[in-house]
Amino acid sequence: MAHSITFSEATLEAMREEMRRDPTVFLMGEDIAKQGGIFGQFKGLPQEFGFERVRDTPISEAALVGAGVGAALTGTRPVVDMHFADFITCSMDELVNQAAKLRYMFGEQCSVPMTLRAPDGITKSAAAQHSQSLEAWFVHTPGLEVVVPANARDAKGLLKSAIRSDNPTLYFEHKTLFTQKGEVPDDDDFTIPLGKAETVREGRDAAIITYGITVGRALEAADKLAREENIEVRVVNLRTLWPLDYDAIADAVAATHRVLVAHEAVRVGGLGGEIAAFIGEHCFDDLDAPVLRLGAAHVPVPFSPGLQDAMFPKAPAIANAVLDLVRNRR
Amino acid sequence: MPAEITMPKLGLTMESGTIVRWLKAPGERIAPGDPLLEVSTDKINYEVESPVAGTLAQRIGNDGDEFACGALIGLVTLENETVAIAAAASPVSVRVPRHENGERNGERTVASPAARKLAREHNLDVRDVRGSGPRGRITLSDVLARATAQPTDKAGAAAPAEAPLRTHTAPAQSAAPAELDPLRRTIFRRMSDVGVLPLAQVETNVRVDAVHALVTRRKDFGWTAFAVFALARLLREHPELRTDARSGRPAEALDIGVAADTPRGLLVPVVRGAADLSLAAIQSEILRLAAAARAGSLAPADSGGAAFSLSNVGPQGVERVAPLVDPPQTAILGMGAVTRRPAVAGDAIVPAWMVTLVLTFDHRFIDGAPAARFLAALAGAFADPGLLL
Repeated sequence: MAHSITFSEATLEAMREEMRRDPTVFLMGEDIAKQGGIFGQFKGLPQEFGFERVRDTPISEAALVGAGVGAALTGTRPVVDMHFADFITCSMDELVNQAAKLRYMFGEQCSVPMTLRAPDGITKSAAAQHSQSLEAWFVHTPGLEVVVPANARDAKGLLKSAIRSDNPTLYFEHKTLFTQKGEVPDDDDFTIPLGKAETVREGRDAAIITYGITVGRALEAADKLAREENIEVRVVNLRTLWPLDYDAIADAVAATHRVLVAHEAVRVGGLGGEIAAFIGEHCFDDLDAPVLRLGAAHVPVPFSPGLQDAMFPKAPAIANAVLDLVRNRR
Repeated sequence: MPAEITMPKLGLTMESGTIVRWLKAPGERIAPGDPLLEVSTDKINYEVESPVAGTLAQRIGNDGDEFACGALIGLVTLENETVAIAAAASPVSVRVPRHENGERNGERTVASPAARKLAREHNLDVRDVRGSGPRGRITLSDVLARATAQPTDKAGAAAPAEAPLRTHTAPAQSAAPAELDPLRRTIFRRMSDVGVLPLAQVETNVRVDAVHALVTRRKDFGWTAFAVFALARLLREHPELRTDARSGRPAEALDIGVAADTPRGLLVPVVRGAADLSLAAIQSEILRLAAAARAGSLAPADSGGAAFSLSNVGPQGVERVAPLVDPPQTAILGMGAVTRRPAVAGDAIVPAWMVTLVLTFDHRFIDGAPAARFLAALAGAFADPGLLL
């Protein structure tokens, strides 16, 4: 059985269940306890778990993540909220040089089971400093796990797995997904394993490999193509970007021979490049057309609604790219 | 002089053939009529026989090589010849020019990796495949089309025509299941292509007492022959119904394809020049083609290139069939069984011999009104065969 809740409520359910399940799980961030989070994603948690386990912190991301790393090293499972993913930059040393490295540098004598929650992505005119999708940086950093939920079900299942993981895990949640509703299993112990992609739509003519907010846009494009062009597109929701489910990618190439990789993050240097390169190296003989990539333009996200709308891939652009692939235009 | 073995020309449209395999080794003794090697065209496989007795002196082409028709592919020394000619015959550079559409990038053939892999699995040379992708890139579907158009046994002899449709974009992956035999694969692919065409139909029921009486009395022609006879004559006056989808212009020859049920599946042998043949001649040609189709021994000239086709399910006792066109043809007639049905004569309902005719046409080329006019004319001829005189 399942129930229909918003993405935000799904993360709240995950938090509640994991905090009940494991007394070492606690939460810190800016304006999360008294205010409940800007997306309501923490509402009611201090009432159940108290202000010791749901802590408001000063506005210092370096201190916040540093405290998280330290707490994790001493045996707790901190969940640290970044408010906006863009602010991770202020805590890069704690995250990249400390959290990611300690387990390796100390011969597995310690681990950093910290979850870093990072609302990201483009929303209405949030502009260049509050709209970025920075996941590729962290996939590029050995020692970190990176997950990107695409819907309420993912949001809950992946957050619970991230909290239970003994590695530092970045959990990128797209700001515009928070209000979207979806079916979530009733099971209190429902989790989605890290490192496993999901084929969310079957199709034989082409494959879209994507994650996060772009999964919904890809599905919208695929529905349109099926309806109007009789083109059946497989859509792969990666869910976890590291460890990356290379098998699911290879399967999609073998099944369709034509592949588009799409994400909202900047195309240049984005994860699409890694995926396309992997396909080139390992699935060469299965390709019937070049691998195409869609991502945001290589510009700071504009404030102007018109410019903002034009700079990242939505369903029509995705559908056009697939048409290019299937109609032999590329 | 040794006897020259050349790539045979097995049909008007054949420009080149591929050596499937040599059946004799150099030095082997040969009797006249011995098969020397097997060659394939895009339609059939064929054994080349030795015209003379002697010894196979040299094989010039290797298995898988393609040669232009008439090109030297082997030499047989005659019985009494002692001259060592092996050295004298220099390898002949007769590889035919590659398809103009398979555009080359310098020396390199542009083919997708998946197309190259599939070609390897089918023992095809990608250079022999016409590319339909951007800049002539050979894609998976091109190799599939080529692989299925090149049957590996005689069963595929008259697989319905050769040219893959280029007038529309078929769904990219109409890949036939691998276990299908070559003829079935060809039918699979072509039907997948046809499935996306804007086909329309007009239909009518005709009272055919007069022709029924003739068929019953004469016994030297049947309903299929009569239909071919009538179609060929009327198609002369209705050129739009024989539009060739490749050119958009009417096909010149009044050649009529006749769908034939064979143990291996659908074949469509062709009655050539049907407008110039008598009913009896059409009948004997149909009998010959049907027997050859069932035996798998259709000659290359017996299939492909029809202007129009007929599908008659009368022998199966079914009253109505709505067939699919066989591109590049743009129209086909479906004819049902001639059965006794109620007909209105004056104010009375009387029993009459009736037939149902369905004309399927490609609406991109043929409009409804001309299709209906043609069917009306055909119905007139079925009702009163005297109109054909």
